[in-house]
Amino acid sequence: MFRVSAKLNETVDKALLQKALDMTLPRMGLFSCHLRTGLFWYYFEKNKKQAKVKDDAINPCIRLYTKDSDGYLFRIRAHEKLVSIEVFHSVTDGYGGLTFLKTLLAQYFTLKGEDVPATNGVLDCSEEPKSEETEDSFQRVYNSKSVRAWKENRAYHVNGTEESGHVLNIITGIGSVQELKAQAKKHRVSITEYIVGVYMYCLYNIQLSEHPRKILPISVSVPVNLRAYFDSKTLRNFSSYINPEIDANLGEYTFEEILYVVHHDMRRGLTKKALTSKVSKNVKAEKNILIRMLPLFLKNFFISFVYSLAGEKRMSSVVTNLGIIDVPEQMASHIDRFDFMLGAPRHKKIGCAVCSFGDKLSICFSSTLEEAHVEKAFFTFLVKKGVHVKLESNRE
Amino acid sequence: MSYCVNCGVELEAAQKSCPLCGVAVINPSEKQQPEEKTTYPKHRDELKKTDRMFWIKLISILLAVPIITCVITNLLSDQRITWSIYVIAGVFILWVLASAPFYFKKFNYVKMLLFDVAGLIIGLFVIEIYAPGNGWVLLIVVPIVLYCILAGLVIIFLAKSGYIRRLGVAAAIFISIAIMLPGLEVLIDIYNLNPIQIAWSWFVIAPCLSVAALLILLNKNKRFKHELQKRLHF
Repeated sequence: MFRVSAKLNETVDKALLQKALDMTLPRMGLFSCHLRTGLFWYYFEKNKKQAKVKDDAINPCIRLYTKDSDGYLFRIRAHEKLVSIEVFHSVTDGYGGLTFLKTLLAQYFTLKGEDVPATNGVLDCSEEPKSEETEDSFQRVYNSKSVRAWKENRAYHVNGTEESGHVLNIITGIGSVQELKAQAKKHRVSITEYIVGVYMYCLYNIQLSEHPRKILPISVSVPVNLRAYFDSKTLRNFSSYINPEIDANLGEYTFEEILYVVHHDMRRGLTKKALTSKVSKNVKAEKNILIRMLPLFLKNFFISFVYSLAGEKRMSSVVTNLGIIDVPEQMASHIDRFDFMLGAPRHKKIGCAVCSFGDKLSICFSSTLEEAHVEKAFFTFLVKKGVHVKLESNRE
Repeated sequence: MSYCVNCGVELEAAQKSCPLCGVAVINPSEKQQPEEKTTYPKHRDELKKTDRMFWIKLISILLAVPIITCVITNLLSDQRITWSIYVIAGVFILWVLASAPFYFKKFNYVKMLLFDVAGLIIGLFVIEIYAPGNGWVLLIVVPIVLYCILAGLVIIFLAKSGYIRRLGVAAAIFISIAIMLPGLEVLIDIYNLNPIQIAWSWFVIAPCLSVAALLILLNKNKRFKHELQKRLHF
């Protein structure tokens, strides 16, 4: 699960939001479905129940099937000034979730009397869903010749006391885009690269402070929106990732050195050819006739087995950047900022999601650990660099 | 507007302490202020619970099928219950093992093991009553099962609390086998009405103890362990 939220300037009218949701959902294609179990694969089927606006909770991004679940693979939540959408990653990625939220808010403000046009990524709800929006773009990108074995090493994982019972600790830092941009510019890197660099530097120092018997590489997974590279308008999942990595065994790293590695690893991975190769490897497994013939419960068993062996071992954590969010002018004046948040990861224990709206940059850490030492290292690093950070948290 | 004196970050007005370091936000000159609204609510979402009774019922009905079939067949052919008692006892044991996970709200290996053992022993007793031997359940089965459970629990406890690890666990298993064997031989002698003496169990005890000693020795030698890990790594 992941979550995109918008903090409005006024308290949310839940009844009106429900109306807006009823109007938006038919336009959203796959979102109006629930997941059904077939013999060989899962499949989507239209859900006829009404999707309800739910109250927000202190532990967001909990697994789908809660007590008040209506079968949808997403949740719209509202609390005070906050409107959030939480989506199961099999439906879509951050881009799709954001499109849904923007369209929903556009309907909401239209009901409030604003005249919001269907521009800046807002979908027109008077139209029917388009087939290109439900396309599985991975299949189109697949190229059997570009399948390569990608070697990824076992990476360092943060240690700490795990919370019990579906607790997700959130610390969101809000900073200024301009201030961070100035810092990134000093090192001639992008904001994403700068944040990944700071994060890796913190993880690197934390690992060293634990005096481990075996020093492991630090590798942070950075999801990439493939729509920009492969000309796709799909609202389904269409992202891959890049893993910038430093081998902490090679010697001491300075912050600048880490930024240098991150910058070049990212640039090297962000080419159409490298991305095609990564996608093709996954699609190839899906096309394998033996795997296709396997009954679903065996597939699930093997997938979870492979995942527990390899899935998250190869990355220390995730930094995902939804980028600059823009909305139609008529909406912008009602919105204070956007937040992006990752759900509880199984092994990584902590993740970081970033997005920006106007000059407000939101860096949200979600973690299943009691300690906040990673967040502390990260934000105090920024403060020491002269970046002003304001924190919000659900921690007591 | 408050700042953490420790971390230097600005904090949301509703925040009573710094989420990074836990230092409380106190401004002595400020009078009591009304509660600020937080971004996150206090309400907690809970996951849908598994309907445990449903699974117990389902397992019971499924397992009732072979019992009913066997009892009817048995009654039709022999006009009384004879061999079907074995099926009933066997299925009963299976039922206990299969439904145990649904009886307990939280997984607790002590409770679960004891529950399973109780089911196993009751099932075997039923067979014993209908197929009289020389008290084989009481004399041999019960002691073996109880010993295994006890030894298992002790080893699990030691491993969980970190007293022993990997090679240590293996050594503990070998030692517990070595301890069990003389007792087992005595029991078998009593059951067979033979004179009590410890004979064949020495042949098992000796290798068990030497393997355990070897494992403990290896466990102590860090360099050797490291070399072994390197050579056997896959």
